[in-house]
This record gives sequence, structure tokens and C-alpha cells, in this order.
Amino acid sequence: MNNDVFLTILIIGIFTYAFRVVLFFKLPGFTENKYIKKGMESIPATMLIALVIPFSIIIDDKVVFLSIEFISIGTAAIIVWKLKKPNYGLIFTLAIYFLLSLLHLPF
Amino acid sequence: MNCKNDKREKSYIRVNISDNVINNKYTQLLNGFRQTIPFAPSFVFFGLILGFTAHNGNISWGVMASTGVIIFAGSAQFLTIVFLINNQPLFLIAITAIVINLRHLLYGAVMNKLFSKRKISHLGLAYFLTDETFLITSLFAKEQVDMKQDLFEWFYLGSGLTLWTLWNTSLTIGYFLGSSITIFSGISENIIIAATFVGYLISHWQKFPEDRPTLIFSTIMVFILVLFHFATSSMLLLIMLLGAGFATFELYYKNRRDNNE
Repeated sequence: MNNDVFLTILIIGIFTYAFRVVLFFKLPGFTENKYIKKGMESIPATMLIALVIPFSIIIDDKVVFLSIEFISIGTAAIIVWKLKKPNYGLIFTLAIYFLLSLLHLPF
Repeated sequence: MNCKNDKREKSYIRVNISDNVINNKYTQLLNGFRQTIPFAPSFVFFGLILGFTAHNGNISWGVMASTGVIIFAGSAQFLTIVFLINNQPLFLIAITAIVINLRHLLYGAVMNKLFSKRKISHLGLAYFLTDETFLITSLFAKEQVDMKQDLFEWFYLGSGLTLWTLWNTSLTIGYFLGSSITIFSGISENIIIAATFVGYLISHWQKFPEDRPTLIFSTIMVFILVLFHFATSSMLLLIMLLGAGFATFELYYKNRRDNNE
């Protein structure tokens, strides 16, 4: 392996670890503020939005609302809502996706 | 606690049956493993694709594997591999990957609240602070508010170790066998990621109505950012910051309204 490449990877790794550990270990005092705390508590929820919504509507770097992928995810979301089985989101989505693929829909 | 007569609605993060079981650190280590497995398809699929991409781009297995161990962050690794394939300058690769990983500062800040008692072992635990481990652990923490920190650390470790093992294994499998894996060749990796988390998003909406305004606001922001052609990788940090800002403002507004009444 090229030494420069390894050094680059090492630098990225060191910075990544530093980002992870610095606030993990020691938070500045202002984060005790109740408003800051509330903001931080909301991060997992907003992360779920950031992982689901953009990845549902951006397919192959294009925004597509009427796609098999979007319909599959939307339908699976409704099924998860009714059945209260969040662990099965991927299975429902893929099942619906493959079924819709067999129908050769025009989108 | 009689589990046969337990009619409570099942949580999307399963709760162990008896206090003796809950209070065992090895049970929580295993629980961390179990709770991570449903999320595995998204990062395993991503790992297979990344390994395959590295192989196709004539990147050595050593370089690819070292990114998995040293960096251990999917989007930064992907960027590093793709930029190496395209012979981009090394300083540009480093700067871009470091900027992409800035979001880990936020994760560390949230984890600090969950692990309030400082220990030297947290230096090791911090290594496993990836997107998925952060999400799984913080969602679990929301359900298990009375769990002791020691046990919670074991849960986190179980999740982190599971993720690390599956991720690095999928990188290697993708590298050597990627061209043979065709079953998902027609599916965008975006749908795998979205589908993995959609169930948890729905469940979070149902179980935590106090978070609904923030979820609605974040969704609106996503559509606005999409209109401005933001890349999905940059959207993650931006949405988290905007959502956190909204939640802060919401609390401030409520307090002010209550004070005025």
C-alpha cells in the first residue's frame, strides 16, 4: 500500500475518532441549558427523517416521486403503521417492490 | 413479572422479561446484537457495494480494509474509495471526508448525556459511534429510561461490535464476491436504506407524539433542500441541525406562552 494513501486514511481516521470522542467525553457547560438539551434530544428523531425521506425520493441522483421505490416504501409504511411491526419495514418494502416489478408498471 | 399475562403493547425495542435478566451485562450485550440485526440489511448492502466498487476500481484489499478499520464510517469510506479511484488529490480526499464526518460531534454530544458518569472505557466506546449505533442506542435509551448506565454501556458495545463485524465482513465479501451477487443488482441502495428505517420512523411517530412537530418540520425541510439539489450525504447533518433548532424553538415558545398565561 502506498504510504501517502495510508497516511491520508490515518488522518481521516484520527479526525473521525476525535469528533466522536471529544463531546462524548466532555461537553461544554452551555449544553446544560434546557433548550440545548431539548435540541439534542430531538436528533435521533430528525435523523430518522433524514434517512427515510431523501432516500425514498432520490433514486439514481434524481428526484422521483412516482417510482416503484417510493410506492413500495409508502405502502410498507402503511402496513407497518397498521401492524405495528417496525422491524419488518425492509421485508414489506422489498416484497411490494418485487410484486410491482413483476407488473411492469410504466414508471 | 408474569410474562404470560403481560398484555402490554409490544415495544419496537423489545424489553426483557424479568429484572434479573435485564440487570445482566451479558444479556444487554446480546440485546445490543439483537437490536442491531434488523438494521443490518442497510449497512451490509452498502458494504457489499463499497467492496465491489473498490475491487472494480483496482483499489487494493488492504486499502479498502484499512478504511473499514481506521475510519469506520460508511459515507467517508465511500468518498475516499471513489476519490482514490478517480485519482483525486490526497489532501482533497482528507478534507472532504473529515467534513462529512463532522456530524459525529453531534452524536458524541447526545451520547455524553446518556453516559453521564465518565469512565476511561468511554475512549474505547467512542470508536463505535457510527450513524447506526447512535440511532439504535438513543432509540433504546428513550424506551429504557431507568436502566443503569453500566448495563446501557454493554448494550452499546453489543451494538457497536455487531456493526463493526458485519460491516467489515460485508466489505471483504463485496470485494471478492461482488460480481457474483446479482439478486439486488436492480435495486438502488437508497431504497434499502429508506426501507430499513421507515418502520422505526413510523413507530417513533406513534410512540412519541411530542416529537411530531419536529418530524413534520424536518420533513418540510427535506423537501426544500431537495428542491435546492442538496446531496443526500450533506442533508443528514443539515436536517439534524435544523430539526434540533426547531425543537429548541418549540420549547422556548411553549415556555413563553405558559409564562404569559
